[in-house]
Amino acid sequence: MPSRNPLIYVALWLLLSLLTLFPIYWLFVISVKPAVDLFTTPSLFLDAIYWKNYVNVIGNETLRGYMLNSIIISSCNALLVTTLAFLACYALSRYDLPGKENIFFWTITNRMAPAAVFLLPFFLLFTQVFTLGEWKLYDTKIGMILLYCTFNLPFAIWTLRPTIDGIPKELDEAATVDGASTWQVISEVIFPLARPGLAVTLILTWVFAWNEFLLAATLTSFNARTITTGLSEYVTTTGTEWGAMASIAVITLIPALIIFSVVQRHIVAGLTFGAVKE
Amino acid sequence: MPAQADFWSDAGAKYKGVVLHGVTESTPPSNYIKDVLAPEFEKKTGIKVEIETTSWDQMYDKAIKDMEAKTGLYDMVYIEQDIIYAYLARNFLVDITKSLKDDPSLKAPDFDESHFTTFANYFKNADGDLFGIPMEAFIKVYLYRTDLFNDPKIKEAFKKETGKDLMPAKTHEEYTQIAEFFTKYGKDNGMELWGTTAQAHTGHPASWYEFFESIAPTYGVYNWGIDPSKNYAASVENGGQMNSDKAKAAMKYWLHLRDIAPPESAASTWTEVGTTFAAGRVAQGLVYGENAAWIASDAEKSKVVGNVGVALPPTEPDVLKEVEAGNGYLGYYDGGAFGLPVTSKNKEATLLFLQFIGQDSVQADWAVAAPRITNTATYDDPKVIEMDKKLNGYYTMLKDQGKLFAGAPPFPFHAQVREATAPIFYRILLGEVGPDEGLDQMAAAAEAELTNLGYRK
Repeated sequence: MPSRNPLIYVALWLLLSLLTLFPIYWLFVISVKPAVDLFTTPSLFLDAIYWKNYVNVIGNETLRGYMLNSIIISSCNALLVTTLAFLACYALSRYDLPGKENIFFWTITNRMAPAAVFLLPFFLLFTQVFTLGEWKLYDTKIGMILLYCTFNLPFAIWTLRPTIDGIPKELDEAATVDGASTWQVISEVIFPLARPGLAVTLILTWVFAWNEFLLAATLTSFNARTITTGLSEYVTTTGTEWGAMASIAVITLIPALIIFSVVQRHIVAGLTFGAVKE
Repeated sequence: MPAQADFWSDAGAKYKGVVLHGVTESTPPSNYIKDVLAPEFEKKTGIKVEIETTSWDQMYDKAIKDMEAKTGLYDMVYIEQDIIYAYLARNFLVDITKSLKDDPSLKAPDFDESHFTTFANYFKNADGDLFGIPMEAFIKVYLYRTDLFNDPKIKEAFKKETGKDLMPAKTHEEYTQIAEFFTKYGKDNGMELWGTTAQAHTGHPASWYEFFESIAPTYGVYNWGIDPSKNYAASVENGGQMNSDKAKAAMKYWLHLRDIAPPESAASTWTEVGTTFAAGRVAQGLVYGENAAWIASDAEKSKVVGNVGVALPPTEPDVLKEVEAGNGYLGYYDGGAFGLPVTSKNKEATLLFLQFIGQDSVQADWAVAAPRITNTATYDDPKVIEMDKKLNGYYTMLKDQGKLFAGAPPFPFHAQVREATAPIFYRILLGEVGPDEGLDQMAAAAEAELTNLGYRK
């Protein structure tokens, strides 16, 4: 029989939290050590805090530009993907489209191949096909926002569909009887009820776009480079600058933490919404 | 016609507003171009230069994709010394010498190809035309800890144990003896100290290069043991050297060093051997010159500043004479250049920038900020002489003995042969196959790949 002593539960949760947070703590320790100490004093504890890595990173205009690009690209992509997925799921849920289950399955096939498979096709599309005179999608924020839809939209559709399916159709019908148009049903009935699911979809797609490296590394150069690709500048022939990389990594956690804290209350509801059909 | 006030402003006037794009590996010399030379050039000419610095693999991936797909994204690409032959074979690059001859209005008065060190020869074709402006040049040297080598207590202990005076090794036998001594000394005294570094990653090309660029030549095995004059033979039976007795002895020597090196050696590439040395964990080692410089001078990253000695790599007794007679080389002359892809859409403006970074006048500050020397006059600059003292004579060695080192062999099949043989090489490192048998297999694999590629007839 399991123990009922609350202290044991507290201790177990504390241990679990420590295990979960340890990588972040260790990242922080690396970020506040001078390079000369990294390989000679691998201590778990901090003797002194060396802020220079942060000062260098924050003072670097190029890195600030990369960070801004990341924020713009991931936020716009998450909003676009969530909106499109919401509308797609509504259609899949409420209309008897011919072969809709096949369409639903087909959307996920875009996530079945590794991203590397798409590198060359996208490179050629971005540099040679989608061009207007000198303008091309390569190295543009709009290009990256659209590109990430390829991977995030299928995921968002699959994440969101149970939420929309879980909203009783009778609510749509009641609203329609009261004279609501389709758009009014979507915006005034479905949208408020689907908010927890939308929040989860938004945050997860945002995180995917924020963390993506491979495609961004190949398809951006100067104007749309993201912070994750900026990290690769610190892998040099004269050594990997672990301190600088760690401090950037810590800084890049901050926007994600802010967004998570804002939508946190929706996450649990969103993850379980529609799990049990009434 | 108005008199020319300044070559750069006059030559640049035609291209004002043009933006040049370059891609390069993130290295101190590249960052100097990005942060100092590019803005200076823009100020003088009105031509903006954007340099993208990234990791080694990303740099190649982006540059080669651009040149293959002919997208013209880049006006300059970094050419590492060992890839130049593949780029030339694929006609990726503009002939800089010819271009400047064809359009003398682009030729800067202060730019002269003859001012480069002999390292520039690695970026020329058979006619002597230049295809890249050298911007990095280093030799892979033998570093040792002067504080340990000069410590009276340690000297006495070494003498007691070996009967010899402790001094930088000249032969493999001496090197091994010193390495064994310091590894034992570290263990006996509870110190995090080992006798040697070893760039012995078990799954990265760095270890393959360490063996063929740095260890095998010191045993008299050059050009990876492949002989183009003998139908690109690699195996002994066909006239090659890859599995010769010398190569096998070299492999055994190196494997032994790996075994007495710090534990991180099995995961060390060209950068980690530098980090290991800088952290004070080893008494000696072979280290690439670009790392030698910061290890000896940058106190923010290195614990052994002021205690770094520089020497030639140890060799087999007769090899140094052979090399001095011009019949071989002691190790790798590493570096890179900036080339102009034929797919660039701004060739003329790029030619101006490439000359700008190749002038003598910009070299000394560059050499101090990011230790590298590509122009002969740079050695005599007072700032560089001062820097040489901090580096314990590294620049002097580069100047006087750089001729004993060599770049990669002029093989356009470079990557293919490396990839064909590397899996066997890693199996040797992992102990899954013996060194003799492994080298036999590697020689056979190299010849098979060369046959596939059409080199062996």
